[in-house]
Amino acid sequence: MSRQIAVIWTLFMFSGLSSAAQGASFLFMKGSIPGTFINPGLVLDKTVNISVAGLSASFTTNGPSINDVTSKNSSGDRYIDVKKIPDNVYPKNDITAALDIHTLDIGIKTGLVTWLTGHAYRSSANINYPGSLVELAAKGNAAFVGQKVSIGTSVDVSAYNEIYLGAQVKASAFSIGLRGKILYGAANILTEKSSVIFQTKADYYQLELENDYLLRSSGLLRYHSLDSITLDYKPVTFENLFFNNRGFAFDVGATYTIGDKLMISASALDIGYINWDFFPRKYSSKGVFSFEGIDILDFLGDSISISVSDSLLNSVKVTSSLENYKTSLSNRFTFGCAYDMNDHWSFNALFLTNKNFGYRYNQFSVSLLRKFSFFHTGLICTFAKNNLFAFGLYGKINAGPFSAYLNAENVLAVFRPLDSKSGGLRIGTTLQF
Amino acid sequence: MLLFRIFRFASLAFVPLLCMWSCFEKDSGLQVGGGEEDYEIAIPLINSRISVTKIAGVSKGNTAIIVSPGGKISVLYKNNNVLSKTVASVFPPFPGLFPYILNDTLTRVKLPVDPSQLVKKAIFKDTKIIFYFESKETSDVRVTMRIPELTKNNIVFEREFILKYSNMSPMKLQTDQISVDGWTYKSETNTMTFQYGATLLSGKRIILDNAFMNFDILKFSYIEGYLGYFSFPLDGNIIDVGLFNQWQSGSFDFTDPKITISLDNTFGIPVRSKINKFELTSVTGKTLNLESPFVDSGIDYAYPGFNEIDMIKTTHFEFNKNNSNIQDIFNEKTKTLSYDINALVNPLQDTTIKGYVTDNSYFVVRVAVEVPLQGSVHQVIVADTLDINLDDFKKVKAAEFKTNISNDFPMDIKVQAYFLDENNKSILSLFKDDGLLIPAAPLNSNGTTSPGVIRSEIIDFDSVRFDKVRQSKRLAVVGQINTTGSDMKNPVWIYDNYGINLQVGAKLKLEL
Repeated sequence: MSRQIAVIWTLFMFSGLSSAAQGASFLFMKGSIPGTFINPGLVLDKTVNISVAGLSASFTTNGPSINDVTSKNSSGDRYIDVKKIPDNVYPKNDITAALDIHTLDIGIKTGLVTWLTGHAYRSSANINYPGSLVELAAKGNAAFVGQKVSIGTSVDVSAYNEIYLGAQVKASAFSIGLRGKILYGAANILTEKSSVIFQTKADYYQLELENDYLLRSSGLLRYHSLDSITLDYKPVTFENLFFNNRGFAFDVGATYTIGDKLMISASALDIGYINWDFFPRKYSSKGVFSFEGIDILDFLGDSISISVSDSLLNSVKVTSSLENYKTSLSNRFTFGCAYDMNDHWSFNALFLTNKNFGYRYNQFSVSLLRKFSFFHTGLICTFAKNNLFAFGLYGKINAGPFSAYLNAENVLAVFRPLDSKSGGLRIGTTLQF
Repeated sequence: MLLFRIFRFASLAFVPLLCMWSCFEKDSGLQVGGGEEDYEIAIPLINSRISVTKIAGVSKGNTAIIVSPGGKISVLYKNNNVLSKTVASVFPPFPGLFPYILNDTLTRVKLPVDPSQLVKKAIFKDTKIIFYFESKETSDVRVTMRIPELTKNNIVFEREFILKYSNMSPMKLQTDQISVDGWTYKSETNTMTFQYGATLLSGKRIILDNAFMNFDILKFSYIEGYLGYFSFPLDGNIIDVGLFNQWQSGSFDFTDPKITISLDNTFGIPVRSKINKFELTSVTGKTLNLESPFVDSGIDYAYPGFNEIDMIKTTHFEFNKNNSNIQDIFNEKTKTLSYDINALVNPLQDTTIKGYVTDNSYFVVRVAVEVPLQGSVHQVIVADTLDINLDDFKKVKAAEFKTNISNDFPMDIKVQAYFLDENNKSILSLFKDDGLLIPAAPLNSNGTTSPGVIRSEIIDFDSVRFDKVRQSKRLAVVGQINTTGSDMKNPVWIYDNYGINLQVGAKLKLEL
């Protein structure tokens, strides 16, 4: 009971932290199931290995932070500060978020082979927006009369349940692991084309949209009109489990131990696809749509009010249909090494490249682990293009066969959230005997 | 020991956690507001092509546009009131109220028509007759009824009835209703003769003690003869002519305005319109009468002949500059035309003129004012005042309007608008100086214009001017029009392809 209280208290203390987590801390947990999440070849230490309620949440942006594009006015309200935009907003900017819930994972060692099975609910989203959209929103379109402004924004969301079966084999210094995963898609948005060019013409400020926009969705987005779009989003759902939106993926990983202190590892994760066939909606807007003002003769004698925004929205045509489609998963590749200096200190390095909705994201992490008798703690430093230095903290409590862990990266985001460009949190519990 | 270690670590960790929270920005929730930089939007407001045809199309009044094959426009002002009459006006159905007594074996019954009418031929429709006989004889009586004027397929109307003796005296017989639908009446005396022969079984001829004839309703599908003189009024009607409603000053000179009267007639009898009054009232309240020889004499309309039964004969008559003073009085800025007309049937009251009507016969009289848009307009000023509500522009600090205008009409137009406060006092004018001049399109030798050139104007409302505009409640719009050569009263035609292209956009500086 006292151990349980201690674990809960520790988790509570660290629960306020948020940061970006991309798997560097999993190397701290080699030998237990969470380690196999980053590399299925990381051999499990015990005969029976169970992981329960593993949760991983993260966000990152390669664009500006909130403070990078906003300032406070004299009333204390925030506004988009046009003076900051040129230095901080790029032509293309991404905001990515991910949430993985590993409900139950089991590893059973029989001889040289350790069998792996488990379930997870995985979801991720990405918004890609052009910097010109931010400028347009900040200044108004009058500053862009006669110019074509790209405002197309793509939204991608993918959520699915995965059930896997795998195995890992250790032979002398070499180990390899493989997981085959059956996937059941729960919700998806795929933006195949996102070209929207907005122009305010110089004649008398006619508004024109040149669209080549194609968006697909299954189980998530319903389009009724441009100002009426509904999202049926559930953080966790088992809809379509075993029925629709089937897919397949695999993870493979390998390690090689040099001596008894140094281990190098490599893995390829989430190589697969999902076929979306549950109400697979396809929305397309292609063409040139314009609003050139109203004809006053149509309103002669009428006292109705005229809405410019309604007139422009009504001019844009969107076609909808049902069409099955296929998406690839956001695959990841890792290359790492772990050096056990002694029984108390370990040093790890991990290079991770992640293709998320078509955008490649790379990061390099170095980390240091200190082991106490019942408590492990670690410090992680992550280098990424959008966030040069992000420091993370790791903690794990061991109580016999039971352990609980918490990892938070980019702890500085706690102090300055509005300057933060990334954040992540990972928690979970394991049982090994 | 283990527990102590946990709590020691926890308390140590708690201290820096408290420090972290104290450094946390408490107001990290994002509100949205405005900064120092201007936020300016540019939007199109108006894109219109104003033409006579289009204005007439959206007009809610009784106005129509007539376009000639060459594209010349005339405007037609009319009202919905028309004079229409059917055969019931000339020969209404006559109900059979009282029975006719057949005193003798031969009785002549007068048709219930006006004494001035002479029905020489008629075909019954929906009429039924009934007979009543009475006899004090004590045996059966056979009665044969014959109407020589009534024939069908050249067979004279004849019916036989039996009064059955049943030990009751007198014997009575009321016949069933006998339809005479489709039977033809012919006579030169407006009478029908009822001949009966009553005989006993022995063959002895007798006279009935009582004999009556009755009918339910006298209706005809065709009547021929002299059908009398009638006068139907179409009085107290007014046509609104909206052409000059906004006129303030200046002169008009329309070349050929007209008042048209048209009559559709399927009556086979002469019809003439008698003009009691044609009065034109100007926007200044001045009233002038239309003068014309045809006002005195009336207008005879065409009617279908005996070989044109149920055909529509249309007569179209116009009072124009050649047969009346319409041009002079119309150009006094006519606001309304009020008229009082009678339609006369058989106007000469000549009983020798034979005519006809059928159950489908009718005539319809329509009056309209037709204004071909040919003429000159000299220094005419028109004005109108509109209520405006600028509440939706509360966040607008300043504005700049851009107008693109082109004019295909052969007329200079100068426009000015004044923003008025609640006391109708002018706060500000829309355009500089005396207004925006839209020059006339160049006039070609064939009387048409070349398309107008686009002219752009920027109308600036800085924050000081816009603040003034915000207080206004009304907008007074004043226009001055001069057709090309109007000082010499040179007439120009307005064609249906003429228009004014008006495009307006705005840049609005907003306060967020």
